[in-house]
Amino acid sequence: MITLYHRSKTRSSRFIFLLEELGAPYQIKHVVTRTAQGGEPDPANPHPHGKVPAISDDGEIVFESPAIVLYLTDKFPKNSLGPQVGEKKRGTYLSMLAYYGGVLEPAFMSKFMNVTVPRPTAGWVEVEEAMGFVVKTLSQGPYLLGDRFSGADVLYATTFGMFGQSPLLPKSDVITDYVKRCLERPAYARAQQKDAA
Amino acid sequence: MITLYHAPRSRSSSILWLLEELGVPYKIALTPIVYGNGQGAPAPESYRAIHPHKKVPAIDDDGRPVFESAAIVLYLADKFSLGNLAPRLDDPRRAAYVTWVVYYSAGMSPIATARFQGWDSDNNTGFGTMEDMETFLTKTLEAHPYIVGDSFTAADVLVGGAVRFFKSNLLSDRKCYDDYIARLDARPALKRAQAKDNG
Repeated sequence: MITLYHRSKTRSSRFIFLLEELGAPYQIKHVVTRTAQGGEPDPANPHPHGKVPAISDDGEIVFESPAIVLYLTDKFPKNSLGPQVGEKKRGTYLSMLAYYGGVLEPAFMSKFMNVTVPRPTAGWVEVEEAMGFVVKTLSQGPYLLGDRFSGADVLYATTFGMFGQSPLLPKSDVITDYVKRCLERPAYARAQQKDAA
Repeated sequence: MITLYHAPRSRSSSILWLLEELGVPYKIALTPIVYGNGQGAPAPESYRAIHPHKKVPAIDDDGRPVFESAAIVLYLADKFSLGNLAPRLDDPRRAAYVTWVVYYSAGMSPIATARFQGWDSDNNTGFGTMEDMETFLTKTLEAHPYIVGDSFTAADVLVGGAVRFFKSNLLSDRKCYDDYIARLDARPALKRAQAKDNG
């Protein structure tokens, strides 16, 4: 049984979306996260940095959003939310998951912190360059893996949806349409209800 | 056949090490990059078909590119060493394995960059703190000799590479780091990779 360590309307919310897509059995455990001002970590939260999301699979902990997506889509292949080992698009799927954690999130964070990315030494690039690649990929879409919706889209589409009109996200019709396409899915609506519960 | 797009003394050196550990045939495509000290030159524009930002490492598996260190490690170890350097999907260690591979690139690497750049000198950055990272790393390495347990996995190529690189200037002095590095340095595949690093 999967336990999702969750705080409402945060980055863990999209894992309710993914779990609904997967049709996997799960339970939600609400935890308190540390704020920017610090505070004591919640002893009920297994995340080593006191953040969400984290999951437990019968006591084995997974954290970092791309790792959780990969772990879950590998474990629950029934609804084909991710190419399995040996499948043709496995490499692209892994690349897009890792790119989210290693490039896209740090790029947004750098812009939010108003710092210049040291391009040769950092593992990532500025938001504008990263989003150029994402928009180009989605232009051949409709999804990151082409015609197939996957766990990677759960990460990207919810992130872009969350940013909405924020100046952090360069404006693009391709992104607007993509977010709409992904968040119109019935599993997203179910997840929203469960997140509010 | 695997092609590794590689630049000496860069992040692709870890993937070279992994390929030696896996013992599979591969070829090295030496790829120009701009180094942190400003030396070097950018790769030709044609390389963007392999890596969207013209960085290394990237690999090509019979025409299929894979980029980002975490993705490459997961891809290669699952393809060539499932049940050995990559825990099987039903192995309880799979959870920690995928976590550490991703944590290397999404956690350790931005946290280290933030410290090198001094971004975290006044306040916490959004990347997480060096202290939390060290606590997690130390707790893990004091519990077992390798990052996901009693045996070496592909995750050690990334995490071990980072610990070695950060040890002299970023991490505290701790016996668990020294012991870990000594254990990794004794591996013949690492020595072979170091001998091939210049291409």
